[in-house]
Formats: sequence, structure tokens, C-alpha cells
Amino acid sequence: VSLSLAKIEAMAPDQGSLDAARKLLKPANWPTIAEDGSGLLWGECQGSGATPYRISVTEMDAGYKCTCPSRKFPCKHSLALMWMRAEAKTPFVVAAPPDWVKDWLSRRRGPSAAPQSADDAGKPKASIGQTVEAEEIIDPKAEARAAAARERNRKDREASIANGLDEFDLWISDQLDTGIAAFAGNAGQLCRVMAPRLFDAKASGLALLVDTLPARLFALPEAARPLAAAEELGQMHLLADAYRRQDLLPSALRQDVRQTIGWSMTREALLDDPDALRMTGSWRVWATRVEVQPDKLRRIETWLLGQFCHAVLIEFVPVSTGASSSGFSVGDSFEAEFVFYPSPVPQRAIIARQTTGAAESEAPLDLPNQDLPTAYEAYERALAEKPWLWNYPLAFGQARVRRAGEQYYLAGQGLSLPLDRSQAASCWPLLQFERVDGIGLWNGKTLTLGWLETPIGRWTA
Amino acid sequence: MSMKALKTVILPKLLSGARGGLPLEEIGAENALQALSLAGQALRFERPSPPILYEIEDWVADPRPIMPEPARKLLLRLTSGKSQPSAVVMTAIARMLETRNLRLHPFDLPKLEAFVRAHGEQLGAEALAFTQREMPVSGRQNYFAPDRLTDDNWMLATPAVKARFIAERRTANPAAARALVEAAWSGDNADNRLRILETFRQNLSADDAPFLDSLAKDRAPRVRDLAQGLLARLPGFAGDNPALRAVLERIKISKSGLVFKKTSLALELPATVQKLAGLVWVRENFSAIGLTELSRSLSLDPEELIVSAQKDSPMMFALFLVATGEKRFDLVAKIVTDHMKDAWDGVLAAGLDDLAGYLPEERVGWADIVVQPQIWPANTSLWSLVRLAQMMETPISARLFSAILKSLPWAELHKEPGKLTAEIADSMAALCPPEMRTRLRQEIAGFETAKAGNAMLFLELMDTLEATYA
Repeated sequence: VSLSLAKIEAMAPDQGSLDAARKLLKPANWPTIAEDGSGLLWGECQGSGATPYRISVTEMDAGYKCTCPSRKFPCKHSLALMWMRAEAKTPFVVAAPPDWVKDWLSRRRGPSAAPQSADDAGKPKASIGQTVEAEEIIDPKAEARAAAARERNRKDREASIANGLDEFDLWISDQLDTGIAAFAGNAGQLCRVMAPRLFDAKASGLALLVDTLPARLFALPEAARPLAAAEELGQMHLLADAYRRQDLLPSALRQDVRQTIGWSMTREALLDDPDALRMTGSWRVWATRVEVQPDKLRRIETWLLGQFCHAVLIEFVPVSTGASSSGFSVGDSFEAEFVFYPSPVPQRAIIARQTTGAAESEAPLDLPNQDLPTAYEAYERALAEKPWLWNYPLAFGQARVRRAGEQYYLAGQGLSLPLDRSQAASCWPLLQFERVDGIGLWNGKTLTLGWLETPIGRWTA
Repeated sequence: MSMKALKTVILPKLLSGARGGLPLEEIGAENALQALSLAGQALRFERPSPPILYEIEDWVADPRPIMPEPARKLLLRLTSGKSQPSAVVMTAIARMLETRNLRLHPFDLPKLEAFVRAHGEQLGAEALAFTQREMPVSGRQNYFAPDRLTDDNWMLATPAVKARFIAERRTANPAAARALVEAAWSGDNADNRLRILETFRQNLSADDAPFLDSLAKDRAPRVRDLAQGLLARLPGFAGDNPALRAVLERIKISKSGLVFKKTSLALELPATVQKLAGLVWVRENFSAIGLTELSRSLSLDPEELIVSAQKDSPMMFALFLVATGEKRFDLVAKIVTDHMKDAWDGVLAAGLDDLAGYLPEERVGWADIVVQPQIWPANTSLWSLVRLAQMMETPISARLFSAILKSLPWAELHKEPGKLTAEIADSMAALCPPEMRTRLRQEIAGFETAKAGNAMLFLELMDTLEATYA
């Protein structure tokens, strides 16, 4: 069972929602409580209106949908349905999903937008495609007009981005004239000028990098900021230059550059891409990270370790919705097919097909047998492939947490990586161990530990 | 182009300003922006340099077993919830861990930092070391956790444990306890000296006088004052006792009756003291007065004092406080039973929130006498339970707990559940003796989770911890 009370608690936007959900646990409030026998739940809850609210929940990834007008996500009805399932006190009638549940499932962008029957199990796109085709009457002329409009918009945006990048180069040149050391001291004010211009030029990815640069610099000791600023501005210029010459780049690198600058790739386009990297197997969640971006979007990252590679699932949700955590918990394990966004260093992925529910596992993480320098060499190779590489997972063995003054390090076989200062307190108990194996995220400056196997058990961030 | 040229020739100019131009030919770059990108990449490929020296970690070996996994999960759930548990609940958990000789899981110390900081002394060597992790070595407090404290090693324990050890020794053998204290006195700081001197209230006798006299020159005024107060309680004390003098000026003695003259005592509060603050004044002025000295000064034995004060409630409350301070439970019981059934209300109004020098079982015994839930009217505020839990720091007797559950205000709570607060539910859980937990669960099960949820979790945690090595 993938739904647990702890998970529901973590998902609840506030205590009030949980309290309200508790009041709905009486079966008398629910004319319908049902399941399809493979992790899809639905129910109807009688509210104050004439018709009951309709709630659908997928157990695999804790996806949910409710027809109530609440602005809390998940709402009390969704929480109550999950709660009843987790407690297993209320019987769920096994039945075929009604149309409104099927409809939600087919329109869902999440991982459980999965096939409805065994026949089309290998073709997750089919149900989506068929639904669209069945409902829409295609007018060839209108389609051609829309395609022309899309192409026109694309060209306009390309031109706008090109202008924005030229302006960006001028801005960097100005910083070079006055000196990067001076820039590092005044980065907040200077970046506030440039970032909106890049947003206006529709280079939103680069704009976000510029917008968040001061925060990254100020997280470092003052003495390290000028060099870090030089490093970051150099990378950003390289990225801008790569965009201008994108036609000369290999396909994966070209698409990575375009995504980093701001072009997005839809889920459907990625699933349709025959060249996209696909990996099927067992995946284990080893870290989840939540960060509020300056554009008022909450970025929710779920880092996973597969048999052969790492993957990160990234969701963006408006801060105002209240959703603040990944649908997965650290330690969850499940079988799925992942499709990776094109990149010379594929990391970001989506779940094309999930074949088992996410279940919490107490088993140790299946880490690759490599020491810290070997893991770091893999990072250096990745950096050579993708110079604007930000977070990179380092899986290591036989390392040790040590400290010098207030700074903590992960040390092993002659290599010492400074640990993120925000983890100083939580790393203190690790000083006692002669050896730890684990995994963390290296951002080029500091390592954020995610999961460690220690002599007294699992440590997670 | 070389990394060296990038770092030694280009980078300094990029940092200080490239208005005068860059020696691009040295690295083969076409323009300043390209030079910046190359320098940036060179920096990115530079491996982080290790520190000159790592700290030598002198890890504290904590011999206590780690608390069991189910209890650990409950504790984390309790502390990571959206409403934080009350301090009384956390105090009870720390006490339970200490009693059961268990320690927190090391990985939980950072998550429970506020709890660990508040109760480091009780939570063991590792927890204390965690709270001191950023202190210089010279400022760290040593933690000594032997299997059994003895006369030879007690000084190495934490202040709370030391005070408790001396208090217990004072009960069994006051002279031996005093000898231990005298031998180690000068090595402690003022806070610890005061804490240990408080234990001398137990079995105070004339034999303690020379030691107390010697404290007249103590460095800390608080210690000198306490020593003086203790000396004043000794029979035959001839010195000046300003606190006693001050209260005697306020006690009016009158005689009545034709044949058998009866003495009546009345306490005149200063005119500047507001009516509502009267009991606070009584507490502030009588808490340092000893029963013997008061009795001697008024030429009345303790029982006669009580009879004489029966028509004056401030005076009666003053005697109640004096008897409480001296742990004269026979007198406390007499006052409460015969004259002041609402003594607990007085305690609350007077702001008495600490039973200094009381052992846990003594606090339980005192509450059994003083707290009378059976007389509480239905509109009594249950906030008094929060104060009771703060004073007790230990579960009360099953008899008293049962009386609270049967009281009118508790019954009212079931009629108006909105009156229950999380603090009251937490306090009831902290006061609940083990044998009453099932009953309390039934009582609070119907209340909102936001208010009773932490109390329920706490009760489950207590059961789990008690089951460990039971």
C-alpha cells in the first residue's frame, strides 16, 4: 500500500485541512467509495451542494482530483479518501471506473496517466491520443492557420531571444569593464536590472539563472564570491553563445541549450520523441527538494537512483496552490519506464509508465561500488559534456565526514568536498563513523548529502 | 592557452576591471567575453582544496542504548507535527528517557535541537556534546554518566544529577551529605552552589550551622542570602533576620476571652498592595521564612499558629506557604482540611510555580493534599491543570487524576469541547499516571485532533518507552 498516514500528513497543506478531512471519515458522508483493484480510487462526498463532489485518487503516486471549489491542494475531500484508504477501515467496492474518473485519468499529466487495460499497457500515449482524436473534429484549414501562427510565434520568439542575448552580452561586458569583484558586491541590484529584460525577451531559463545568481553568491563566504561570479557569468555567456550557434551542435546538446535558455518541451513531445532515452526498471527515491523560485513557482525535485543511472523528476506548481511536497517519499521504490529530456548529460525525466505502486522500502540503497574520487571523475566527464551543469549526483563509498572549524567535508581517498553549510547540524552525528557510503548532490561548490548508509542505519537529509 | 595563464594573467584583470583591455593573445581568445567563459570553465574544473587540518574528533561514547525504533518514530511524529507539543510533555519525555536509561537516535539530535538544548543534561553524553558542538573545547561541560553515583564520583555528574544525589543523601544521612558538599564546594559555579545549598532545607539542623556560617563570605550574593535564610531557621539563632523582622511588623497579635485568653493573628498587607496582588505579596515575603523561627518569634507552637490564624485568610495562606516550604505535610493537610479547602486557588493566585527542593514523590504527596478537584465549581478554568503540570514535572497520583476526571469542570468540557486547548490536553497527558492512560485516551478521543492529537501521541510514546526493557 503506497498511501500511509505519514504521507497524507506530509501532503496536507495545513492542519485545518487534516481536521476537516477527519470529519469526513464517516462512510455515511460518502454515497460512493470504490476502487478498480489496481490502485485507482474514487468516491463521491456529499457536501453542502445538491450534487456530491467527485474525488479521484491514484495510489501509486498519490495523484488526486476533486470537483470541489477549494483552493487548497489536496482538499479535505481528497485527503479524506486517501485517509480512509490508508486506515483500511472502510471497505472500497471494486468496480470499473466511471467516465468522470476515466476522463481525469486520460487528461492527467502525471505518471499515472497510465493505460487502462492490459492490451495497451505498452502504449501509454494511445489512450491520450485516441481521446483527443475522438473528441475533436479537425478542420485542415484551421489546422494550417494554427500551424502558421505557431511558426510565426516561434520566429518572433527566436528573434526576441537573439536580441535579449545580445543585450545580455553587453551587460556582461559592462560588468567586465568595472570588474567582477565589484559586481559580486552589488550583484543583487545589477541582476535585478538584467533579469526582467531577459524575461521580456522570452529567455526565461537564462533570466531565472540571472535572477537567482545573487542568492547563490550570497550563500558563499564573502571571499569566494568574486571567483564564483566570474565562473557563473562565464558559463552564462557560454550558454548564450552556444544558443547562437545551436545549428552547429549535436542534437542532444542543442536541445539542452534550448531548454536551458527557456524553450520548454511538452510531455507529449517528449513521449513522441523516438530518439529520447528510455530506461525501464526499478527506481528508488533518495532525495526530494522543494524550492520557491522568484517567478512564484515552487520547484519540486524528486531524485531517483535506477539500476544504471540517476533521474530527477521536476514539477513546477504555483506557490498559491499550497502543494508543497513531492508525491513520493524518500525511500519509496517502484518499477517504471522513464523518458529523459534530451541532453548530453540526461538527468531530467518523466515517468512514461509506472508498473508498480510506490512502496516504502527499508532496504539499503543499491549504490554503485565506487569511491569518492571515481564519482568525482564521472562529474568532471559530465561537466566536459555540458559546461552549464548545475546539480550532479555523486554516489560514493568508503568516505568519511570530517570538519575543520565550522566547515564540514566529505573526505575520501585524497579528495575533500565541502558540505553545504545548511547541513552542518545534521552532519554532526556522522563525524563518529569511520566510513559512510551514500549519495549527494554536487553543485560545483558544495555537496548536499541526500542519503547515507552508516553503521547505525540509514541517514537521510 | 594554459590554465595557468587563465588564472594568473586573465582572471586578476577580470576581477579588477578590464577597461584597459585584456592580454587575449596569451590565451588565444578572441574577445573579453570568451576569455571570461574560458576562465569560468577553468575555475569549474578546479578541484576543491582540502583544509589544512581536520579537527581531531574526540567522540563521546554514550553507553545508553538508542531508544527503540517505534518510539523514535512516535517522537519524531510528535515533534514534527504542525502544532508543537507543550513544554510539559517534552519535559516528561526527557525524564522518561533518563529513567529508562535510553538515548535519542544520533540522527534525530539535529531534528530535535530545541528539545535537546532544553534537556541536554537528562538526555545523555551525546546529546550534551551535540548542544556544545560549536563551543571551544575549554568551555564545554563534561558529562559523566556512571552506572551508579557514589560519594567518590558524584561531583562529576551534571548539576541536576548532583543536586538530586545530595538531596537523597540529606534524607538518609545529613552529616555525610554536608561533608561531601564542603569538600567540593569551592570548585562549583554560583548556580550549582545555589542548587546544592537548596537541598539543605532537608533535615536542616544545628550541625549545619558552622558550614552555613562559612558561607557568609561566599562570592555570590544569592548563595549568601540563602545561607542566611537557612541559618535563621535553626533553633537558637541569635543573629538578625531582616525577612522575619519585616513580616513580624505586619502580623498583628490580639488576645480575646475572659478566662482562657485566645491569641489571634492577622496579617496586615501594605496599603500599596492591591487586593488581587495580596497573595503574591504573601508569597514573596513568607517563602523564605522558616516555621521554627516564626513559631519562636510569636511564642506559639505550629498547631497554635494555625488555630490563631483561622480568622485571617492571608495569615492562614502565609502559614500554608511556610509549611509547604518546610515540607510539613501534616500541617499543610491540617490547613487545607480544616481551614482552606481552596488552598490550590491561592497557590495559583500567589504565582507559586516551583516547589524548590521537593523530590518527585514529595510533589505528588503535596498535590494529593492541596489539589481538591471535587470542590471545583463547573465554571473553574482548567488552565490550572497547565500550572499543576508545570509544578509537578511528574505524573500525579491515580487518586488525584481520577478526581480530576470526575470533577465538574472536566464534565463541562465534554459538553463544550471547544473549551479544550492543546495545552490542557498536553498537561493532562503529562500528569497522567501509567495506570490511567487508557482512561485518559477514552476521555480525549472525541476531541479535535488539533487539540488532543499530541496528547494521544505522547501517551502512546510513554507506553512504548515503558515497554522497553520492562
